[in-house]
Amino acid sequence: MTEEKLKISPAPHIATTETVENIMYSVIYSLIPAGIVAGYFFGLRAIALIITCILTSIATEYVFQKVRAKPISVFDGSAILTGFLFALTLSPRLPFYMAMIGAVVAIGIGKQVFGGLGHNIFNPALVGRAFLVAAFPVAMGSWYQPLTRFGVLTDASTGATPLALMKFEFETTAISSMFFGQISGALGETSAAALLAGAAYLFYKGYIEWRIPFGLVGTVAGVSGIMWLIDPGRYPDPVFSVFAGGLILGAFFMATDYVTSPITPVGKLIFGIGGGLLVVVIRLWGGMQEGVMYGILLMNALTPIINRYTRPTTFGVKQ
Amino acid sequence: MSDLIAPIVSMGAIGAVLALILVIADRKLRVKEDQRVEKILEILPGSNCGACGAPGCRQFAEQLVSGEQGPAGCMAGGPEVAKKIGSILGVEVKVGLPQKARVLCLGGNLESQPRAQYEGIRDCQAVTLQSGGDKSCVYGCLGYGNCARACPFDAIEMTDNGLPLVDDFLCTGCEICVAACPRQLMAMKTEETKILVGCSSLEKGKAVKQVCARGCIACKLCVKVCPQDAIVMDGNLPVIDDKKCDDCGICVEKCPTDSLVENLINQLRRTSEKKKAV
Amino acid sequence: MRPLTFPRGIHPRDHKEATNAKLIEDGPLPDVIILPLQQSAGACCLPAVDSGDKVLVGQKIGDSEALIAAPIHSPVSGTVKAIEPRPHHTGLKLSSVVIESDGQQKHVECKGLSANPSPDEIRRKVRDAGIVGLGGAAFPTQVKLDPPKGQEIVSLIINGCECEPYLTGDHRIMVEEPEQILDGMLLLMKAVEAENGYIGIETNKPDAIEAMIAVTEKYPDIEVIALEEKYPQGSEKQLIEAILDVQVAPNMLPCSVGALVQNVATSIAVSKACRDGLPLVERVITVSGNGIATPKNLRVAVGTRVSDVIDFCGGTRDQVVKLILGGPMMGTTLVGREAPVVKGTSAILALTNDEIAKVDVHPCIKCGKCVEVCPMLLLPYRFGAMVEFGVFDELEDNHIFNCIECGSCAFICPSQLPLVQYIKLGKYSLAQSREKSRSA
Repeated sequence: MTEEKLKISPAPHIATTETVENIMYSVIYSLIPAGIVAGYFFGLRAIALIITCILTSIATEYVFQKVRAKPISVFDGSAILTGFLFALTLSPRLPFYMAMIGAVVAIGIGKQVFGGLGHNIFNPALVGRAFLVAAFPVAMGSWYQPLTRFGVLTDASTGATPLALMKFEFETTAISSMFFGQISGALGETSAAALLAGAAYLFYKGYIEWRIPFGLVGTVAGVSGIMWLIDPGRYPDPVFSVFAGGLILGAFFMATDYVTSPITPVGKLIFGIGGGLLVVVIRLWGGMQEGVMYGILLMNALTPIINRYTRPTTFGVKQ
Repeated sequence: MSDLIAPIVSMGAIGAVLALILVIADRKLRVKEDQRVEKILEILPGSNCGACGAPGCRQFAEQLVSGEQGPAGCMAGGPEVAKKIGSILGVEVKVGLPQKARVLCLGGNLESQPRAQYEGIRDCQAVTLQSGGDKSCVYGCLGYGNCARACPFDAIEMTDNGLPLVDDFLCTGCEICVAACPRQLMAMKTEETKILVGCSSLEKGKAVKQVCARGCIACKLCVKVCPQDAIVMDGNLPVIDDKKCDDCGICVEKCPTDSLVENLINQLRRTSEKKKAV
Repeated sequence: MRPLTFPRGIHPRDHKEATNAKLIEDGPLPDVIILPLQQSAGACCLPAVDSGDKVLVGQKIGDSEALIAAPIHSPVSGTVKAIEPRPHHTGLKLSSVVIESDGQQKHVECKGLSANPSPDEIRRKVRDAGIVGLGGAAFPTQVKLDPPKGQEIVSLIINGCECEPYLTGDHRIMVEEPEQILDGMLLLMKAVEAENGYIGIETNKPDAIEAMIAVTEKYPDIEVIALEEKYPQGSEKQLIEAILDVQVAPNMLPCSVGALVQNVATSIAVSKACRDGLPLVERVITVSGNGIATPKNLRVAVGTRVSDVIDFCGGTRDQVVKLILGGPMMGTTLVGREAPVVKGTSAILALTNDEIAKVDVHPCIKCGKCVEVCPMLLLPYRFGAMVEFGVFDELEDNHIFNCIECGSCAFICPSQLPLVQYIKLGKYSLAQSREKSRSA
């Protein structure tokens, strides 16, 4: 017998310190600016809504893991992230119970029924939102004018989103308002500045890769730009298209979700461009004002196929 | 009224044409299937275990009819099924005794301490490939349960002591676990085997003693005490001649490390309740 | 000029500072030498001595008739005590020749080749001296010097990358014995009639680059190539890609693109064999890691037990959690200290808890980092699921046999999945099921 009991394990014996938790929490941190801006423009109730969604997500994940007798991993960051992202897509004065139902659907149907982290096909936060849009169309479609400094929204302050103004009244909104978030819309989507600050952090950490977000934004800007050149009276200009609605939030934080987007570099580009085309088509010619959610969800569904057909040629095989 | 007649007539006509096509297709395209395949399929266990070499029970039945396989090919069905197949095919089948899986190692976690701490895929084959495994005895059962996972009849359970336990009432003798064990510790035994040698170590006595409390230390006591002279040593392990052995049990009693055990065919049942009900 | 490199790969911390400035010392002269009869890729040797025989330094103690095999020689003079299974770094006991040293180190008569040997003479000498690739794979060198008909070797690449963290043996050899490397290189080039010679060295070894440039200045057909510090730069196929800008096809050898890669230490062994007639009985290893009291670069006799080497370096300190033979990226963990150093051993590492990867496995989140770093352009994350569900035919379709098991994917995986272990298991299972279907 040996005097010491050594560890035996497969090589490699060293590894990066990067873990799933690191990545998840970094994405959560990167969303905090957007959360704060939401509180500033839509009141403290917005913050409460975000916290409600996060807590509901954690609780749902816990219940599912307990029932399925799986190891409990509610604090690996993925449930918190889903709850946070989901909250940012909601209308500021959405009743709390609706938000909770949506969060349960997001984690339960969007993620856990597929087998939990890493196995879901669709972005859980968007599954939750899609469910709410279908179940509570009025509440999900009610938008409010932003306030300043953590005030309280009232019924009087309803107001259409820039995309709705554009679509139905051909009225554009000032880019600066859209950049800083002084427009009506979902909690997290109004301030491009806050979102881009978070995205910059993720790029710096290397957690998101340019192909998907820039593919998406670039396609939206390009195609809507072409349409604008053809008929500036009818179609919005490309800068407006990029900053309006949930494009920035969707492109940088939802489409880049590792689990539901392609792995191969070419696949990522296809995913981004395809998603961008869908967004433009839905926005300009569809019945809805906004197409980011369905654009991403549809591309999620195509991800396995994209992965399959963009497999890199292995080393040494001539292309 | 005329509003109704047109659709009734046209739908009826479409129905008639389609029916005609079906009738023709049935006559022209019918694949002649041997009736016996269906009959055999009813007898087979239907678990598609693959132990016969065919991908599933249907393919096995087809191979039987075409003569590619013999009636005894179904390991899971055993002699019973073989006899029935034989009667369907009209061939005589010599029936052997039912065989059950047996584990040729008694050194669980309590008897044989691990020599290292293993980190990695919890699979016996993976562990074996990794530094020869974490068990002190390089011949003994690793306890990561490849046999239990491979068993299509759920007849093997890993005990708390890290050894497989076979439920004879579920075991069909299909031999899949034999192939699944990277250390060749699963063997099929019939009731002809009265005493089992519960150690597979090829090491000398001293080396075995260092790593396992129930390993055979090749002391040859069993050889000496056997009244029937049924035991001989092959290297460092005893071999028992089943024909000579009269199951007196003296060797089991005398073995200093308890590495010989009675082979109790059809008496082993697992302990856990939920699976007993089969 | 910008250092050359291959696409993808990883940048682990190199941990070489403990030994990269330390002169190579002569290792211990142990009382007992254990020589496993399987020391190279290919066939196992048969013992050429009997228990009780007296042997001298350099005497052949095992050989094989097989095509891919290398003989084994005694590094000490003394008596053969036994030929029996002994602990081996694979964790199993393998048939080994055990020699008790008499401490006198009496040599057999060694004779080098003439000053200007023919290619055939060099090849024969390399085989007789039992030389194998000393970079780690231990592939018999003579086999590589004899490419199949129709394939000519144009370029010889001497591999001085040493991209595995902790390892500094090759680095020190290049600094201390550049002339002998050059000599071995010239002999190798002659043996295969190569036109160009390259010496690839990573930029984290500036003194080695300098030393090699200094000795090769007079040779216009030999070039020292600075390579980017990146893992796995020292992998044969990656090195060829970096220097010659060609990819070796799956299941093909480097000679298919006219290249031959040899490690610097192998080059020295060739020089020693051809000039002085010395067989390969010793090699330079790095003994390092926080668990080693005094990390060193040692020239040790093949067959020295790990315990003897560690004791020579002042024993272990702190709590050693893993004992590794080889580098931290590809080395194997040991279960004890009884295993001997073999020809393919490049290092003995005693790692403490804060040096090794903490394993906390999560499900795959499809982040794609393994795909980003894989130097062989595979999809490592997919092999895990395939092996788990036993879909072996898919494995081959995904080119599992093109994997070089460098470990980059498992290193970078945030879910810390044992991807390389899945791949090894997959390769093994696939080979087994193939064998089965062949015998059936």
